[in-house]
Amino acid sequence: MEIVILILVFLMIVSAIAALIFKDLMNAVIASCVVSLIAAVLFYFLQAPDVAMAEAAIGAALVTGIFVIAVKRTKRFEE
Amino acid sequence: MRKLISLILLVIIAGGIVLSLKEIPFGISKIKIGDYYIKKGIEETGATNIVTSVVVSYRGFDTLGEITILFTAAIGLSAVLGTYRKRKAGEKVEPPSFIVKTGCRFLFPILLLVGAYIFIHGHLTPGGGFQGGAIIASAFLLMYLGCEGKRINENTSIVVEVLGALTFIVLGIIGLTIGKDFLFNFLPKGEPNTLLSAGIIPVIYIAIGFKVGSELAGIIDHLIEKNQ
Amino acid sequence: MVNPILLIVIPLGLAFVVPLFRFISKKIEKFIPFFALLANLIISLTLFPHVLEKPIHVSIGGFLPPLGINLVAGPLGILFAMLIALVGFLVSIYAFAYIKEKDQEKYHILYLLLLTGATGVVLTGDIFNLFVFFEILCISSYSLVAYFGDKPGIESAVKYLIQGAVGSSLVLIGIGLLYGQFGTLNMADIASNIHSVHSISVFIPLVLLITGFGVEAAIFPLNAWLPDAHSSAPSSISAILSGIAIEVGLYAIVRVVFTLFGASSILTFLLFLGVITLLIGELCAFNQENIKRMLAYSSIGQIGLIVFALSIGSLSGINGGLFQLVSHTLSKALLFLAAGYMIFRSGSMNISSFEGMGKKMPYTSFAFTIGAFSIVGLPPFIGFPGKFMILKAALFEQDILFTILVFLILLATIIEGAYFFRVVQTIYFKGEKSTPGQEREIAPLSVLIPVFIFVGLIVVIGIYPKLITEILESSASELLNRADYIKNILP
Repeated sequence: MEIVILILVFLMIVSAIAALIFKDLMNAVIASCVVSLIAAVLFYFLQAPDVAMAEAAIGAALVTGIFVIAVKRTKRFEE
Repeated sequence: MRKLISLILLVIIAGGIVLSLKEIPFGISKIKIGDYYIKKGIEETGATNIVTSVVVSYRGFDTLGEITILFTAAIGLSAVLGTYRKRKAGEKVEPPSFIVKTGCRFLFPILLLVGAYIFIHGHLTPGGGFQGGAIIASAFLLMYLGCEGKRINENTSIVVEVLGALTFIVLGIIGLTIGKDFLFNFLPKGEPNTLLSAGIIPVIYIAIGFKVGSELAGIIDHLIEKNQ
Repeated sequence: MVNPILLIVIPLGLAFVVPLFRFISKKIEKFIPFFALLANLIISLTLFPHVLEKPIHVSIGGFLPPLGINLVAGPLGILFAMLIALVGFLVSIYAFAYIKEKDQEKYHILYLLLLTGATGVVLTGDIFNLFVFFEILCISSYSLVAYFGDKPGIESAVKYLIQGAVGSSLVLIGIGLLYGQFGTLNMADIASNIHSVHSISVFIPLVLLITGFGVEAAIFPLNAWLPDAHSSAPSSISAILSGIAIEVGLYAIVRVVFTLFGASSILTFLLFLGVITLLIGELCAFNQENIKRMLAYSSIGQIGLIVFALSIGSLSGINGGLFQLVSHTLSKALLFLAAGYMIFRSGSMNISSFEGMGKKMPYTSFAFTIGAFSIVGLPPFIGFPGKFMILKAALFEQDILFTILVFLILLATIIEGAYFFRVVQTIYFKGEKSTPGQEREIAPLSVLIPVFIFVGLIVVIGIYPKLITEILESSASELLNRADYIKNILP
């Protein structure tokens, strides 16, 4: 169990850094979606299913959707 | 140079937060209010899900504030985006592929059902109004992706939103007029672990579910339709 | 006795009702803020005598603190609630004629929510609940700054949004750390245990909370958003932002420093910050050509003065600071309202376009002049007793440091006087001699009535400061007597 959580935390940090350095904003949005998704799983492991549900529904689904719309309306690549 | 300075500042702030976090005894039930909620929550509120009893009953006023924040954000967004409308004529959106279309149509009713289930059973199982509402809103997001030309009716969504919020406030005021405090749980608590229990908690959570769902769907609608 | 919760519930409920009026009549919605704030004003006035005897505290949901959330209507809270209701009520009359563009429905909803948030912040006794209402206040002001939807408005709103969001997240982290250490969110409960833990671990949340609330209160290094936001918002909103929003941020800081932490050691730091804020605000205001930016910088300066006065930490210092706060709220709201209508008529925010306004719009110019004199601190107006009390309190400390700071404050007042008199001079004595047949435009009654009520208040309280000194004194002693505050809530 411990090792699974450690791997998840590591993946989460990696994708958070990736979201920062990606120049293609669509990739950055997907990376931040991954961060939320892993956070949701971690919340579940920490025995907080309510928060996990909110994080999955809002952080992973809705926010990603809204970011994708925003990126489509503006520019896709960061200078 | 600027990057270096900001990095040093961030390290100092992070160090301070770590110093402060070190004092917090994680995993020990020193958290006194939380302890009380766990021991007495079911007895005092009738809700089996302790988180719900905290969110809607013990700290119900915060929840009223939170749905107001969401309402403020939605109204502010529509006030700002409504002014910045620049429709480019003749710009066609690519129609969704067959797989996207079928997938969205298949998932849309299921997601609605899951969302409704989550907020109706908010006082019994994990989840509640906010989570259920967000799931319902993501169903509408899928509808915008998969079904071309379909839109939510703006007036209906506003009426649902307003009625949801008013239900919350009116229940609170009834509690006040009965002679107790605002948001007093005046309905019978019932048998714990059944659907009809916990007094006004399920009513409030259903109202919140409808409100959050229609509000977030309205935000998505504004972003997708208005600003093309 | 009325329940103080109604001060929050009535405007909140009416704000939710406003969207339904689109199905009945579009004409009613602008009267909703008027009635809601009138009700608030009446309720806070009826609560006022009770509060002077003993602070009222009510719990919500039938759970006693620290289990549930409680409201604390002490003298300080009711003083702020009265100010918010009064200024909000008068500005809502002003908005009848002033707000004509676009979707007025949304303006009125956001306006009501802003004032609800402000009232909630000043009445609550729970630190997380304070944050929730603070967010309502902030988010509605972000969108109201961008209400006109023009480019400068949206740009400054985004600037404000980013800085405000960073500030709010710092506040949230601070509250999280406090909850982790004390296991409770009730302010009285935290305050009674604050000395039981190591001081460094309390210091970090204190710094985070002051920084976060400081963004809204526009204390020196955190005030970059203010001139842009206040100058590009509609004038009625500038009056509210300058008169209410930054004061509420200041209230949060004061509540946290005095009641929650009882931290007297950080006051010296805030003393210097206050004087620096004052000097920077006044120096920047001196150089402005745009009237609303000038007023916005002057607000920064005044906030610096209030922070200085409150951080003296003595009873008379806090008393003077609160008096100055009331005087700034009334005078700055008046200045923004009067300037807003002059801008509306002249079509430009440039000070030079106000030449000859004294002839063209005699009533509005007269009101503007009264407001300017009051801010500078000329004797018959409300600004004078405030500044006088602050200087007296500072000199009473008999410290060489305070003497130097008082000298700096007087210097800042001279700068303030210089730029306000320049505007007044432009209004009355510049420009071509008016031809006899020149039209005299009289502003509509819905503009003149609130403006002249402000003028009346400024003059009356300026002549009889005793009218408000009683509530100010009990507010100041509420701030200084932490033990009483705790004992009242947790018997």
